[in-house]
Amino acid sequence: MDSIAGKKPALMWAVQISVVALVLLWVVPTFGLLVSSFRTGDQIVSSGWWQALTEQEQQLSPIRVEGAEVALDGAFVIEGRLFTSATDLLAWGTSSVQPNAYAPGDTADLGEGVTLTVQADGAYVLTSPVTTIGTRLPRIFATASTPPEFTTRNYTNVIASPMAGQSIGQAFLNTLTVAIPATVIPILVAAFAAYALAWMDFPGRALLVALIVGLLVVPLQLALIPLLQFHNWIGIGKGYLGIWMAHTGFGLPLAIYLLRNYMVGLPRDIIENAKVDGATDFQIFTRIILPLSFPALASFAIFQFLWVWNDLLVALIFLGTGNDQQVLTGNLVNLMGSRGGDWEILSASAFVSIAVPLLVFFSMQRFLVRGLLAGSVK
Amino acid sequence: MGTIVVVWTTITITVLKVFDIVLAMTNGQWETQVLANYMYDKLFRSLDWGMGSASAMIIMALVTPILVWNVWNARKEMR
Repeated sequence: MDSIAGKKPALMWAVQISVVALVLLWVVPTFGLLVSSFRTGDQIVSSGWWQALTEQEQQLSPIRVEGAEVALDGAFVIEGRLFTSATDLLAWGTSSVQPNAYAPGDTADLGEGVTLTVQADGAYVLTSPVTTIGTRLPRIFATASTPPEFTTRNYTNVIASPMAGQSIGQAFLNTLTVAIPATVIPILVAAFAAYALAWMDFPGRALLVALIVGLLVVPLQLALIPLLQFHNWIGIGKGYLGIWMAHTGFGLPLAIYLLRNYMVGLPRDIIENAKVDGATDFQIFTRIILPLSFPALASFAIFQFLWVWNDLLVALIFLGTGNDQQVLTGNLVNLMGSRGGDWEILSASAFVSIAVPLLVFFSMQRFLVRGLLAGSVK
Repeated sequence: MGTIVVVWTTITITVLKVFDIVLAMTNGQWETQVLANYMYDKLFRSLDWGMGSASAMIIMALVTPILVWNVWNARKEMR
C-alpha cells in the first residue's frame, strides 16, 4: 500500500475502520445465534444471549403446594420443596396479581389461620388449624435465579426428530442430493461450450457469446412457468431429475461466461503448437485446457454449489414442500412458520444448515479468488 | 468507474430477483411485497397463471436495459 502514490494514511484508516465495522455488524449477531443454539428454551426466553453466562432471573409458572399432610402440635402441616435443582428464590407470592409480594423466609397469612412460609432454597411449610385434605391448596408464584445452563439437546432434537414435516437430517441429505449433481452437470456441459467459444472458430461465435452474456442477466422467474409446464408435459413432473435440469439450465450462462473468460486468457502458443503437432480439438481440450483451467472450474463449482444450497425458489417449485424430498431451505421456512417462537430450535437448525457451505467455502477459498480474477485480467 | 457500474448492475439484478428472504421473513405483509414474491404468490397460491406470467414479464422488462447494455459491451469487446 505504501507504493501507491497519493494514498493518504487517513483514507486507509477510514477503509480499515469501515471494514472492521462491517465485519462486526455481521459477526456479532451470528455469534449470538450460536450462543442461543446451546441454551435451553426457558433461558432464551428470560434473557438475551449476552447474559448467557450470568445467573438467570426467571419468573416460574405457578406451583401448587402439595405433599403429605402431617398432624403436628394440633395443627396440620404440609412440607415440600419448590425446586429440584439448585436454585435461589428471589421473591414469591400467592396470587398472580402480586407474584412478588414476599421475600424468602417470610410467612404469608392466607386467612382462617392458614400460614405459608417459603425459604430461600425453595422449601415451604404450610400450616393450617383444620385439615387441608379435600380443600384446594394455594399456588406459589416464584421468581428464581437459576445458574446458566448449556445443552446440546437442541442439536440432537433438530437432527434426529421430525419437526414441521421431516427431520433436518433428512432434509440435509435431500439438499446434498440436489446440490452435487446440480454442480457437476453444468461444469461438464459448460467446459466443452467454453472451449468451443474460446478456441474454435465458427460462424456465429460472436453472436453466441453475446447471447450468453445477455442470458446472464435474465431473471430466472421468467423461465419458471414454461419450464414447469414443459416438465409436466414430458412426464418428469416434480422430482430430482427436474430440479437437476433446472439448476443446470439456470447455471449454464454464468458457467460458460466464467470458463470462457478464463480459457481465452490461456497462452495461445501452447494451443498452436499442439495443433501443429496434429492434435485434435478433443485432445487439446482434455490434455491441455482442462488441467490448466482447474482454478476456474473450482471457483465456478463453489459458486454453483453455494447458490444451489441456498436456493429456495427453484426447490419450492420443482420439488415441492411437506414431503420427503424437501430441501433444507424449505424446511427452515416451515420451521419459522410453525415454530417461530422456539428460538433454540431455529438457531440450531440455522447452524446445521450453514455448516456445509462454510466448510466448502473455507476449504476451497483460494481457488475462488484465483479463478475469478484470472479470467478478468486480460 | 467501470467496476462500480458492473457491480451495481449485478447487484440490481440480484435484488430484483430476491424471493427467499422476503418469503421467510414477512411473506409480503406490512407493505413489504416484492415482485418475485408476488409472482410466486399468484402462481402457486392463487393459481392465477395470467397474473404470475405478467409479473414475470415486468421483472424481465425492468432488467432489459441492463441486458441490452451488457450485450452491446460484449459485442464491442469481441470485435
